[in-house]
Amino acid sequence: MPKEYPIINIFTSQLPKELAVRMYNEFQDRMKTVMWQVQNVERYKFLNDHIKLVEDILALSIFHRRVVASLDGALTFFRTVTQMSGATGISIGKYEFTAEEKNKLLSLTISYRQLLKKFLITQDMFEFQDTREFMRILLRLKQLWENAETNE
Amino acid sequence: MPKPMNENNGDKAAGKSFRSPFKDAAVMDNEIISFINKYKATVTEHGKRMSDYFEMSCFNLIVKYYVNSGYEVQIANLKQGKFRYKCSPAGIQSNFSHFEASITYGAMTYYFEIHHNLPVQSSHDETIVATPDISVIKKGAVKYRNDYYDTKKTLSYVENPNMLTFCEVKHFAPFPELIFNFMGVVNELRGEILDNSEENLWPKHIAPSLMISGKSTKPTDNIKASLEGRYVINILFDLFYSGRSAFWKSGVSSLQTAGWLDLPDDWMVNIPEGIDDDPF
Repeated sequence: MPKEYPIINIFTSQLPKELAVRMYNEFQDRMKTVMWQVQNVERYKFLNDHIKLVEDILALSIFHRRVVASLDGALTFFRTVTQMSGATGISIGKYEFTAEEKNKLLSLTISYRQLLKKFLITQDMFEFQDTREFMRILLRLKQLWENAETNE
Repeated sequence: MPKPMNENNGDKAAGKSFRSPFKDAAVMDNEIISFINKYKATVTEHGKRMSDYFEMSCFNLIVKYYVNSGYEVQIANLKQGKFRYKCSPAGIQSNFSHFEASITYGAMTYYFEIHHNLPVQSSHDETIVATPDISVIKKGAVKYRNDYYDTKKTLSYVENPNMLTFCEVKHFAPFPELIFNFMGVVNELRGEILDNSEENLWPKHIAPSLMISGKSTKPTDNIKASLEGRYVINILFDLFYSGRSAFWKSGVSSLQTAGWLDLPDDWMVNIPEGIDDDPF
């Protein structure tokens, strides 16, 4: 059986060190709070059976804020520049941000949003500051799915 | 608290195209890993430019501010059909692209330029410069000199009176010292703001602004309220999400514009008669 790596390691492998370290540290810090809440707060104890899921959603949220949001910003700027002028791309130092590169980023962001949508997760779910807020969002997510399944 | 998901889609939750992450956690895990593996090369390639992309996003918001404030905005100085983005203060400004904004009142049309990483002369000492991330200047006001550095390297800059406003961009979670550091830049580039002696600008320009990606907390909200109450500046948080609404057409009027602060009549402390008398 292949070795299973923590999800945050998969997200951060091959990222530039500075970015990877920030993402990794944020994940570890928030997971400490999550685990404390799961062990000590009655309404979150059900998450004991879903730690892997919590890790996945937390890692996705960090990826969203630290990577996807910036890529969205680059795409918006690309759109402004190309719509306002006949520019074919953006030169950033030696890097050429061309229509082809733009399409790669667009493909990434579309696939990412499809992934979220499949599990009924919306981006605003990731707009939390405090980890306890993240816990409340998980709770609501659980209740929402329970309601949906009850109505099936 | 933000809504975790679109509850209007609740009925669809049981549909086959949606999967419960609680029941299908393994499916979700596999899909995330497939997604990461599929786009690993793209993320790796772009990962080193995340700060540039956030700055671009803010540059875009400032352009949007001018468009939504009634300016005509266009791009100037494309290089070989591309927008050449300036990543650092170094480099000759004419080798990079910028935006041009113009607005007409009656028979007068006013022209400005929106630049990225253009050094600006200090408002206290014309021999030194600081480089805000974004600056709005009078058209054609970029100057060049070769006596600024130890070598003959050229400095591109704008003289302080020709700079209308500027913005600093920080891809961080806000914290008090980050905000107070901005006041140092305000002091250097637009010292008049600190004693509220700046002239009102016409046409209107956004007041010097600090644009921060992270969400605020109660302490940083308090600092924002306090500083914006005392000085003509904008401190903007959460610019990936809610903070962007300030730049929408319906939101631009919520931003302070450069000029003097309209303080209440009684803002000055009444000085008792005789207090200025020489005590000796």
